Amino acid sequence: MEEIVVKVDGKEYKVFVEETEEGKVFVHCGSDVYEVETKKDVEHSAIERLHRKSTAETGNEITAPLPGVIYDVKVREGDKLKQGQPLFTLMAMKMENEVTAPRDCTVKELKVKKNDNVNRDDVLAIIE
Amino acid sequence: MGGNKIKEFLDLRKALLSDRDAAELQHRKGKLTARERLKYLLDQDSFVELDACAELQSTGLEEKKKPGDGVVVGHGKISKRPVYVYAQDFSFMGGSMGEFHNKKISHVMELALKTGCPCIGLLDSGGARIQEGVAALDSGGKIFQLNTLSSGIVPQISAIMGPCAGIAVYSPALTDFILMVKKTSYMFITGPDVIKTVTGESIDFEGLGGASAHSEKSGVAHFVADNEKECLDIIKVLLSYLPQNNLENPPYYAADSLRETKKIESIVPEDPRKTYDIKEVITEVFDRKSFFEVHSNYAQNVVIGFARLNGHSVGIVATQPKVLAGCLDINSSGKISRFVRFCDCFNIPLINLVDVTGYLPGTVQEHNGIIKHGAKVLFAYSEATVPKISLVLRKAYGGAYIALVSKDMGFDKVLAWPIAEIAVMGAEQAVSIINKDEISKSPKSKAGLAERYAEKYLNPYVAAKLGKVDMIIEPRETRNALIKCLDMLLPKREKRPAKKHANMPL
Repeated sequence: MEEIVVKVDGKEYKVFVEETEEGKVFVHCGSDVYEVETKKDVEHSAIERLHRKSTAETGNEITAPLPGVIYDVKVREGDKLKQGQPLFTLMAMKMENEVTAPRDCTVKELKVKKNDNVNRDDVLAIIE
Repeated sequence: MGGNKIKEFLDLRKALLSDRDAAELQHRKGKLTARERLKYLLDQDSFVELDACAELQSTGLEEKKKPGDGVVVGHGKISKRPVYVYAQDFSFMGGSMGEFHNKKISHVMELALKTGCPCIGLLDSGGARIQEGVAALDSGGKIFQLNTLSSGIVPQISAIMGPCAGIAVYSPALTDFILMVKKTSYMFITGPDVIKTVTGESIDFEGLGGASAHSEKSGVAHFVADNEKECLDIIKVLLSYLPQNNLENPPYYAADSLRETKKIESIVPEDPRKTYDIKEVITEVFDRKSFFEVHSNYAQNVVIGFARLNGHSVGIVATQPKVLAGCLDINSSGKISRFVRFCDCFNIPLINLVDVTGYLPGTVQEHNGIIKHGAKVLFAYSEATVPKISLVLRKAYGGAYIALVSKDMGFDKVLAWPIAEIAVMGAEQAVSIINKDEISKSPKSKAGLAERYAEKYLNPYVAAKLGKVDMIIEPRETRNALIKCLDMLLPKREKRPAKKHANMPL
């Protein structure tokens, strides 16, 4: 059992948290016992990462596919883009890799400028 | 003769072959029944069913007992070539794998192995039949054993046409190719409910183990179909590139013409920094409409697939400059090496199209084992005894050169275009190592040094002088040159020392 002090409206209460082997959690408060539901904190699990990536593809972040250097910025904030239109040229693996718009969109914010070094999955721009 | 007995038999057979109940259940979900699938897959009237009367023997489930035990097995023909098949029937106890269900599958697998015929599974099952306990589990082990024994002897294809969960996923995983159908097929070891309880993650069936998850992220599925019929069509197309077994050669189709591949000149930019789509080059070089891509959504920085060159089946491995600069990484290494090993098992010559500077740098790659995964590529190519031809289009540097081009590692013929750059590394990197002192004294000298290095080393001639490149060809000669090389290499025989088996890096 773990002792926790919680502050409610400026007043301190001492409660005891008990976790059973079945994963149930009880909070002992004075003579009362409450069973509570917990939200487990899943730390960047594989699937969550995948999710983030798959939403990134359709979401509002343009990320770097490779580590490299921004060789050319081809758009300005506020530009309207068609799907497949290039935003950046990324010099990586000795090639000019085009980073293109995943869908028709508007450039909301550019996060990098020419000659910036970027890592894989770094956010290069926000679109909407 | 016993007319009654024959009549009895005919009635029984009629009952056995009826899948009216199944049809209703499956059609409601947009799926076909096991028998309908087999009918569509196989040549007309070619199906012969085996073990139709087999049924479950365990106690406690008598009231559910039904002849067939939830799987239809037998043999038939696809494009007049014999195959063994099994199709699970989801309408009977969720297609669950009971003891006799598993025995039926093992039975056709054994026959396929003995007679040297491809074995095709159409899977639609909730997994092991829990009520039958260890008997169901253990007979599943027999299937794994047979999958493994058959591997490299007959092609094995698994189409996932419904759920495929728990231990049931491992039989497909042991076979050569996995196909999935969008929206109706799922594969996972532990389902969403278990994941929710154990790790707290919420995910649905489709997100966890649907066709897109497995074709794009895990790479478990090699092909994705929009619907069941398309899925069965893909099986037919796939088989058209494959021999019946490891002792035969792949089928030969009518030869396509010799022709100049002029269009390539407008596809591939001369500037090595510019990207292009390697698939356009493949389409231009190989027999018309013959390119059949495998793993098209997974590790797209490398393109693999079957095609025909002058009528002969070949396996293509090509780096894709358009995606991640065509670099080699963990996923593409796995993709290449498994494909190369498959082609080697079944006497399918390999042709590489190479335009890549090397491996993807980064801690993620290193910590996830690019060393051992990259080693698979070297292993697979070194081990392969089929004809191996490599064409360098533009760049082949360092480790990527060894993996995909090296004559000493066993490539039989190496070709290169005049714009090819075969070297240890790019010019700037090279001079910053070779001329370190000079550059640190006067940084301005670097550009000139790099230029001189590029001029001297970034071409195909240095390698050609050393005998590492057999032919330098014009891009427009690509198709004709490859055809001539392949023709001469087809009868190739190469012996390997006898051993139990090798220890492939995994």
